[in-house]
Amino acid sequence: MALGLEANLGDTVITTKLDEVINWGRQYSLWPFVFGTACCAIEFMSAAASQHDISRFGAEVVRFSPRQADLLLVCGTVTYKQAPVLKRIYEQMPDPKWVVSVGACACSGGIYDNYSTVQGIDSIIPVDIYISGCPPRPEAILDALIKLQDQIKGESVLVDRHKDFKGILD
Amino acid sequence: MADKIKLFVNGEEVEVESGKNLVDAVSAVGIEIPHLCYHPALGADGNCRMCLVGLEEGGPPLVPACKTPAQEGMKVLLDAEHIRKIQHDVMEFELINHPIDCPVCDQAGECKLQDYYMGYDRKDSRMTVPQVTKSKKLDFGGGVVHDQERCIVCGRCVRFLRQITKTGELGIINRTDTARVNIFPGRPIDNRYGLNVVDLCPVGAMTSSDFRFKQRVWFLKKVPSVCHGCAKGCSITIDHNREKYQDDIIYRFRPRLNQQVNGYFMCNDGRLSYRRENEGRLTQFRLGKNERDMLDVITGCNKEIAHSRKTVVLVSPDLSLEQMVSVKALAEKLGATLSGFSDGYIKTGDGDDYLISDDKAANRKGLEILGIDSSRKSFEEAMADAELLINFNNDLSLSYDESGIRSLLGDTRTIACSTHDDELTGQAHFALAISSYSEYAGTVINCDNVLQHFTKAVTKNNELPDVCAIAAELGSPLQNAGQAYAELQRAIGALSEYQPADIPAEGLNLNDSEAANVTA
Amino acid sequence: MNATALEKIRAAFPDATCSQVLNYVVVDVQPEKLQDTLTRLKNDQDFNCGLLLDVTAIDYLDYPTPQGARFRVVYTIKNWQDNLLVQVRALVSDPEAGVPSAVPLWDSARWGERETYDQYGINFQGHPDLRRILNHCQFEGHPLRKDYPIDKRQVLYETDSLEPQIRARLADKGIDEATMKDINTEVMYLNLGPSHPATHGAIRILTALDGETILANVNEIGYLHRGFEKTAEQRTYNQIVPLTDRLNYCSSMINNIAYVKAVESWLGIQITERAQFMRVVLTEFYRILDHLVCLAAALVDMGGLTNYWYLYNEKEAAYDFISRLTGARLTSSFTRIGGMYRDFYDGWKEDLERQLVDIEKGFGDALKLVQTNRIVHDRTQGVCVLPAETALSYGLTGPTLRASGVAYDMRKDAPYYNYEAFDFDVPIGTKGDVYDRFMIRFEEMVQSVRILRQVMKMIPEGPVNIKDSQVVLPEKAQVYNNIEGLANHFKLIFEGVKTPPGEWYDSFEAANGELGFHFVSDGSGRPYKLKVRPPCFYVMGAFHKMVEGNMIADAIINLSCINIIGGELDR
Repeated sequence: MALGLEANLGDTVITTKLDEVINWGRQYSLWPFVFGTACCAIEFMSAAASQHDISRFGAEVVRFSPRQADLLLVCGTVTYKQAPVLKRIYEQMPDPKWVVSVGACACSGGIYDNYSTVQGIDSIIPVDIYISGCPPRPEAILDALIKLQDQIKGESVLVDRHKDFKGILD
Repeated sequence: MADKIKLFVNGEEVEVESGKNLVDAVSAVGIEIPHLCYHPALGADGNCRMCLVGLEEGGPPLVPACKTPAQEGMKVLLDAEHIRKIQHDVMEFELINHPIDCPVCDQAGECKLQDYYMGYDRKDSRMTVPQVTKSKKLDFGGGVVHDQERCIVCGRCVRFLRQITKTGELGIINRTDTARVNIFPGRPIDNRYGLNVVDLCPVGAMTSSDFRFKQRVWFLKKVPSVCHGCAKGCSITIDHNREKYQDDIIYRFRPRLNQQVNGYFMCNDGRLSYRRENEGRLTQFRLGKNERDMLDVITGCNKEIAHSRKTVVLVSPDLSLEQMVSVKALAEKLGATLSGFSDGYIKTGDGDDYLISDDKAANRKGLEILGIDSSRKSFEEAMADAELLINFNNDLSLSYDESGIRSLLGDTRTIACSTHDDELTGQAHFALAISSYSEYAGTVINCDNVLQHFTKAVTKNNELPDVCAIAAELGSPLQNAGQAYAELQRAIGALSEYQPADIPAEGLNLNDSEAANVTA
Repeated sequence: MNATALEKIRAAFPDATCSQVLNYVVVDVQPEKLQDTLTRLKNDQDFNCGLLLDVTAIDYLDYPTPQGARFRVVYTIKNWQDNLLVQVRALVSDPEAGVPSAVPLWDSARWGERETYDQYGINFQGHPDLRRILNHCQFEGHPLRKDYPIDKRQVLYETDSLEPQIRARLADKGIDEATMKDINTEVMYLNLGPSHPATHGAIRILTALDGETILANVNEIGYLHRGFEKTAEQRTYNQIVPLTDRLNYCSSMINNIAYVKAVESWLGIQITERAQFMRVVLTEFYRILDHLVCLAAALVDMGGLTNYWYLYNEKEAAYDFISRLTGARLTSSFTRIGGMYRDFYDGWKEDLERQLVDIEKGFGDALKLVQTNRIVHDRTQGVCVLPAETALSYGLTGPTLRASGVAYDMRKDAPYYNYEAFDFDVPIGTKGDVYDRFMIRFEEMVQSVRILRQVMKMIPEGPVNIKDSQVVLPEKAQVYNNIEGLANHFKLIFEGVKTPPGEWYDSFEAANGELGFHFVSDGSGRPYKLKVRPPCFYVMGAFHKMVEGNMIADAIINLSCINIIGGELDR
């Protein structure tokens, strides 16, 4: 994510001001891609519905193509059959991208500790925020979104994220 | 075996062995008569009254089944209103002052009070007064912890220490509500079979401080096996479990009933020998001081073997028969001298006339039957000019002290196939990690000539090869335990009709003249 | 009825061993006679078992009493008109050789036998396409076998291309290479899913298109196979209740109720009156919620986004009632063997009535937008028609079957929990097109509200749990204050509720169709085997039949109206 020109400027006041603007734009206009497989996707649908309104936080534009999204929400269990699909979707998303693992199954396999379930998607793709719960309340999803926004606030254009991640499918 | 007689239980005819009391007789055909104070090894006491059964005719209407010999034509009544009431009442009585300890009691999961409550009581409590409080966590010595509140005063522990070990450390003092099991002041349980009271106790009153709070019993997988602590080879049950993300470890050994070998009990040393299976193990193959892959080390060993002009193969008397056969075949193939010298394993005077043998080797009879020379003379002669020593888990430090080992080895190169990473293995030129007896299946013969087979119990995350596999890698013509067993059947005639799975659970007595038939 | 059914079957099959289990007949046949028995049970007028509900197998490796062979294959078939359920079983000593396939008799065997092959490794001779369905294509071994360790994980590195399958399907339809390459009829392959917004979960639909018309369709499922059955073998009966929640997660309590009903029927427990009515209330309430979600999503797919808000908001509002009652929004785990977790709270009737009024308004509004809408009619009428015989042959049940005109609803035909005392109608469709499948759900919601109002008036007071120390936990006051309660609680929790050894099957009318549970018990507190008969698995098996010949956009709305829930489809 180190934009070319800014890299030359190095760590100066210009870059930090630039960071603030860019991060402000990014955090308040996250376009989620819902990789919904199971029950957590229903709770995400609730989070997107009018009562818990996710669009208050700028994330209402749910894009169904990974090319147009920058936030990957993995809602639900990821099985070994689904894992290459998840990896492919992640790779198709352009930088900058963030991953939120929604629910116990995505974070660590949940109650399914067996032959078919990946014990946490962080063995396949790098994850930024983990939300626990089975399924997590919509408020928890919103809380995670806010935490992610705070995290984005502290990022810098000079730093590449997650370039050294190595998963089991790499 | 005794003759069969016919009697009636709940109106249905069953055929049982004569000469037994009712509890044992009908349990052999699958009918349970609940009992708390009776134990087959200790005889009937008759204080718990749980085994009261009805007799439909002839004799008193209610008899304690543990004291009633089974007779032809007896009409036993178990499934009747008044019997059920008695069973409920006895249970209610036992539970009156029983502390509410299940969540912290080790016995939960194998507790007779819990089982009998669910089976025979099933009703709510009627207690309205406070329970009697007593002392808990009393250290009785010998690793036994006593909890007076949980005790139902069945007397099994007292009877065991009086009748079986004849030491009498425990007694029941006072009467009724104040009856307690206790030791004499300043005279704790001090005998080598003390921990058996933990098994005998039907509730959590006698617990082992070694096992205390380590694991819940319903998580434990129970596998029958044979203790390798001494030549008695008591039948045991290995209780092991693999917790999530951990390795499979053994939590305890318990004795298994074997009328031919150890009866119902085992000695403390054997019981606690499970620790050796978990600790101090050699887990990595080494070339000198460096850890290497198995393949590298084996290649190095094979090169060494090819260069050596005189090789001595030393075998441990703890190995199973299949492993000894594989090693013997290896030694023949290599033209090496085979020795089973292990005089250090014999601790003269340590054994007793009950379950402890002087000889701490599990399978010395195996060495004898297979004709493996174990004399000191031939071993030391062979070692005098040996270039290479291949040691299959024989602990030479038991037979020699440090200087003795140095002079024995001289400049001989050593390949040590060991289960434990002891000093000798540390000094070896090649160290090969092998599996121990809880991790492989095998056959051993005890000091009384009883042959027992045990199956693989523990599966470690990093499975190590066993001696048969290593011997095969080093050149033995027998590739695995299966082939070794076939070879063994040639050596021991009695085994020719038995595949390992067919060997009876109590073992084969090779003393029977037909069974002996040894041709090695 | 069943005594005579047993006698009739015994008379018709003299070399088979017939017995009665619960209220159905079990026929044990020799493997050579299996095909013959199944054919006669299907075709004979006396038996007329037109519906193959489920195919499964049992691995007796660790079973305490030997059964004669290691595997056994079980076919659960039903004569839906006379409510006659028959389970035909045959021992399989050599899984490689296997048994003859039942595909020529019932099309639902296509997927049922594929699953049995996938999980147990039993070969079905003559099956047109015997390959894995739930586990991935690089998986080795058969996971439900007892010697397969549960935590032996296998990573998939490359997804299946499914090219040979789609080509085979095209060949089946008579489209050869030449036609495919001709510029006017060139075939285009379009892959939908498994990660696709329209698929409502993880299903892969591979279509071969001519322009926009679907020539051939091959589906791949199993992306959410979470090993429910193998996990259930390690848990006690009550510990499985949260697992059942996550089967059809849109109507989670129906799964809970169906599951404990199945266990209670074997234990011979009659739950209290109040518990029965309570379960009916919750079943119908969750049926409404399931249909709300299905319709909301279906209408979104059709382009009518407003309906999503109207319908989904009612579901959201219902969560207030549910979370007050059970403590959780979606996955409630509310039932226990012998009763429920707890009783209704005070004031539940008013809350529920308010919800019902809101729900009626919600779907009333949505219906007004949709009912006379020309676009909806054009898009859904006459589209993706599934005739009744095909539907029955593919093992469909529930609203999708009723949409095709088959009047089969377990609540009317094999009632339980006092359903015969309630006054309600069962809507039946006429053509079996998307419109029918749609409208039937609206109508079912109306009927469910009707039942609910009646039940709320009729529900008696009384305890919710039965009093049986072998099944139901004692009250906490007893557990904490005396040893009897504690020991009771302790044993029930870590050993589980012990069931008598045997095998049994019980079913329930869930929101999607007949949800069945097939148990094998070895006498302990954990099931030896637990198979779920998932309604939408068989509906998905018929998907290609519905969409071939229609356009790709029709396939999308067809998929949404048959309500495929991934948790139930793949378990």
